[in-house]
Amino acid sequence: MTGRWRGATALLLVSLLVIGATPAEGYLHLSVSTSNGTVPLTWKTMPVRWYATDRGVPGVTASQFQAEVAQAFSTWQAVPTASITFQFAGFTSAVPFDQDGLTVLGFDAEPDLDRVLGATTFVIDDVTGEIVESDVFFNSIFLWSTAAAGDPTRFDLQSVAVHEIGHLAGLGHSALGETEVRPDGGRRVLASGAVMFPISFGRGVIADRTLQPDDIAGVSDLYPDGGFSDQTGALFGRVRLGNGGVIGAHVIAFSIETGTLVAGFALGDGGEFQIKGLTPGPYVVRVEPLDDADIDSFFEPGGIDIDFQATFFPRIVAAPAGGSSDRFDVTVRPK
Amino acid sequence: MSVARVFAIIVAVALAWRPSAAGAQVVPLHRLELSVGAGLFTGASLGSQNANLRTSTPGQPFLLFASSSRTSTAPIFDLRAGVLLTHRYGVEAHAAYGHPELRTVLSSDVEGVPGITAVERLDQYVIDGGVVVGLDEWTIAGFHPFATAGGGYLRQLHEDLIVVEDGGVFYVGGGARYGLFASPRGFVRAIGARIDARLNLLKGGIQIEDHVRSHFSVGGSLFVVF
Repeated sequence: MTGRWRGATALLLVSLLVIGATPAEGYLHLSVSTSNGTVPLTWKTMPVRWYATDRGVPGVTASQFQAEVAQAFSTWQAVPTASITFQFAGFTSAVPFDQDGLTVLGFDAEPDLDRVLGATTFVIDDVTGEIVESDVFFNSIFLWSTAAAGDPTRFDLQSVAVHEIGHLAGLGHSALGETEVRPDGGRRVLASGAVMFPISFGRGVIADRTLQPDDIAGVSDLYPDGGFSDQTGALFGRVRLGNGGVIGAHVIAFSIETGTLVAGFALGDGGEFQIKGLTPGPYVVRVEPLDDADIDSFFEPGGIDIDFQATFFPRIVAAPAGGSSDRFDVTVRPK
Repeated sequence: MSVARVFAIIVAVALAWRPSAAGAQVVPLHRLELSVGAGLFTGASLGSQNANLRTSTPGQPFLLFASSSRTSTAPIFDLRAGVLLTHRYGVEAHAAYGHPELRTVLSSDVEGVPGITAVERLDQYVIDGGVVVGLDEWTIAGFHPFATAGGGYLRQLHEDLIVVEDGGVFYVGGGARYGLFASPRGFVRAIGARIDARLNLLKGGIQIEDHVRSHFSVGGSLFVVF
């Protein structure tokens, strides 16, 4: 039998960097190269059953941990245009990252990952891209909080859980944010437009408990439901520099009617991009190099072009319900 | 046909057709008036919208860039059909079509991207109906004034014609008719020109801020009464 487990591969995704970047894979949607081409990582069986470890940390009991994580799962499950569902299966003494067939979320001390708040791993069927197991660990070398309004001395558990569960669902990182480089080489977040931005706001901030339009578009594209395909639209275009495509350009779609921001990357050989999940209406498109997080937070090393100037597309483009715009070319200039 | 010949024909027609008598109605009762014309539909501000990112402080967004949008003034072509029900009151239906531009000024980019104005061309349709009140007692030099008011439907299509935005229109206005030809019998009972000016209040359609937008329209048309 060509078993689902044969050739199953464990992928380590390290995310929510506190200070600096650590190599990671993926972009908007995590994907895997198979003999059938590149396929997104998705869960095929619903609900996704998850376990919580039975260990707490100072300031967070095991039951408080379970409650916060359950709320984070509910946040994703509540997206009306996505069909992914989750179910709490119980407490377990198993630890995250064991390939045991269980999806386990829990605290674990990883002193070597002193810039990493949490991480998500997968066991996947590398033929179909189906996720068969995913574990999330929260690094207990940091202080954690479950306070409703946050604790300025601790990291908000629910916010980090919402981010990691986004990965668990199959989402990669969003580049919708602005950072500045710190003297030690790390980055400080000035602002972000997505829970899936790879760098945490910091201690005491609970902003990432709430999904943003970019997050909602991403998970809805992976698990479309509730009229997502019929009621939202897409922009389709290319980013061009000279006669060639720009690969890895960050493309932002801004609704001039609602102010929402949804972004994606130009990943086709010709600089093609498609931004889905847009409320039908007129959009302005802004293209920029990936310069607000380390590139390896999004892509495997190599092949990403960042030597061009950020630019606006001079035309307003409409996203139609249930379809895509005609293809348009955004021409950028070299730096 | 040469320009001089066309000019001569127009002069001949103008001399042959006498305006109807001051104070008399230009449009006979219970007859169908059709008109076709052109004009201008002014643009209006649609409002502003910032591309904001969240910060660690609630209520203090981070400005990625700013935008301000408006529609442009554009020529329109319009058609009307009306009937005078009494000596003073009539009803009419009206359809107008134009190609305004949607213009969005982008500025204050956080990374210093030069500001630009992003543009697209719209297809705009207004279909409305209302009452016409004749003000013949104020006729001056053959111009028969009237007042109008009504409401209708706004339909705006984005440039690729596959995204439609609907809304409503209310209007008040007025104008004047000038009779060029009148006959008590025959298929064509009257021919003339009319000018219209309106204040159009638009709600919905392409909309950024939830408010009623004021657009003026002016136009001239030729009418025929059957």
